[in-house]
Amino acid sequence: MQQVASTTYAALVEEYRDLLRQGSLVFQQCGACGHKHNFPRVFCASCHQRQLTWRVSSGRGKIYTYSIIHRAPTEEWAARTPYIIGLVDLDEGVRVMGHIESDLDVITCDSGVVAAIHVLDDIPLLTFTLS
Amino acid sequence: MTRSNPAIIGVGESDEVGVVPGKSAFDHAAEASVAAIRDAGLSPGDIDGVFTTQGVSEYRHVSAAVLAEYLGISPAYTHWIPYGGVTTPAILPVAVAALSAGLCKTVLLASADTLRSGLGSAAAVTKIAENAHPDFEAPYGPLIIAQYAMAGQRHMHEFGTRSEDFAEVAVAERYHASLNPRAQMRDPITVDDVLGSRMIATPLHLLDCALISDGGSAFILTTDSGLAAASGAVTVVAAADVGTQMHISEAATVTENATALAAKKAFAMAGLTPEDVDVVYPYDNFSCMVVIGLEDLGFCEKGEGGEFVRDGRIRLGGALPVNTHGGLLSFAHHGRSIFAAVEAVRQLRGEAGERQVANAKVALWHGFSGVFSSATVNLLAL
Repeated sequence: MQQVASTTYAALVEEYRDLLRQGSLVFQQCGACGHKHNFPRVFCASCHQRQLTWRVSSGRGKIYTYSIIHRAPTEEWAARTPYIIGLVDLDEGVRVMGHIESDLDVITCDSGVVAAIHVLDDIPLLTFTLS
Repeated sequence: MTRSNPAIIGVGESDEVGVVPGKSAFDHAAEASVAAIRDAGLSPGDIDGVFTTQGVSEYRHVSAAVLAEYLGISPAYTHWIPYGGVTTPAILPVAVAALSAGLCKTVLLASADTLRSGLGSAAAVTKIAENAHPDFEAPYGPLIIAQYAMAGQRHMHEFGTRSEDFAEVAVAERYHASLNPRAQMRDPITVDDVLGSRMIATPLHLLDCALISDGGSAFILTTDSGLAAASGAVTVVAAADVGTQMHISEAATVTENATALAAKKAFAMAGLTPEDVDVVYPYDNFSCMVVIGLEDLGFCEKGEGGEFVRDGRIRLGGALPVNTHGGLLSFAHHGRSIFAAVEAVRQLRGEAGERQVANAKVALWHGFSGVFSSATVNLLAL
């Protein structure tokens, strides 16, 4: 378990992304109170201590909800339609946003999924597939 | 003499609403303000407070101080509310607080924008997409429509709500707009029309989504007993605002939102219950949010919203007419509009013509902002 080192928000985002680039889907847990919040932070969202740790997720979870986007207003995203955006509840109890790769007619809420990390324009992104 | 609950004594809209090329947000704000001030029978010197919203197509021009100056209102307490997202009902609790604190006595609340002709549809949608968290959500391209669609998707999964139920909302509001000469879209539609319209982001079709429009709206609010004694005054009996989170990833659930908390607060403030409400204006940026909203507001149990909107219940003539002017789905949506409040006041005054709900005495005006990040419930009564 690795301590969260960053003391500024900008550095924190890079610290998080570096770990993802290395292939670790990390989430934060507070070393003081045990709380797990969703978005990475410098302080614990529950007790405000700066004793956060990076834990590595198995990448497994369930789809909380999703939407298949068929129309997008910008050229960049219109070129990728249809794409699926989702909120996934990882088995470890943290919710993340990601893309979902699936046949459009089999995806449902509560489907089991597993994450992969792809790097696009240097930004590591989560893509889930049905497990 | 000052009364404790402020009264709305004037309402107004811009001369034109909908697709209005050639006019700026500033024009719409000024026109709506002048209309509201005239409706109240006032002159500039009678007003000592000005509240406006921050538009997206023109940044500074519709600020409260600039508008006050243009309208010859001086001196005044001014408050320019830069709430991100798309709700103006949230201005009302702030205005009520300013009036209660004695910072001003008679307030102009105005809002206007040119999402359609100034910014353009694609740019408007893109701009509103900035609601996503820049680091942990935006890189996935979660259009604002998709974020709200996810709420509808989960609601269908948990409660068996159908696309047809969401469509009922769009059909009812379009029927109301067909009775409204100023509405942007007036041709009646059916459930099949909604389901047959382009799918944008499942489960939301084009006709499940708010319009993108130009226009402005305003009202005059006062605690002056003399002014409030005029006929046609409508009392604000509750104005309650509650925030729960900013981004969808941090929402505890998407099938219920801050609306439920704001509603409880508002009804308690007013000493009223949902049974007392005659006309309701739930925020309708997307049809599925009205189904969820009616549940959260307390008109039916969580999960029963799909059934609640069937069989004409939310149409004029039904038990609980929804967005009688046509709403954001069919009347107009310039972002942060006050059209719903203007219509609510007209209903309570008996001035709604063909759309009049008999004996309307209590109206509920609801909104939320961000990604259902915070919600406001206001109650208006004769």
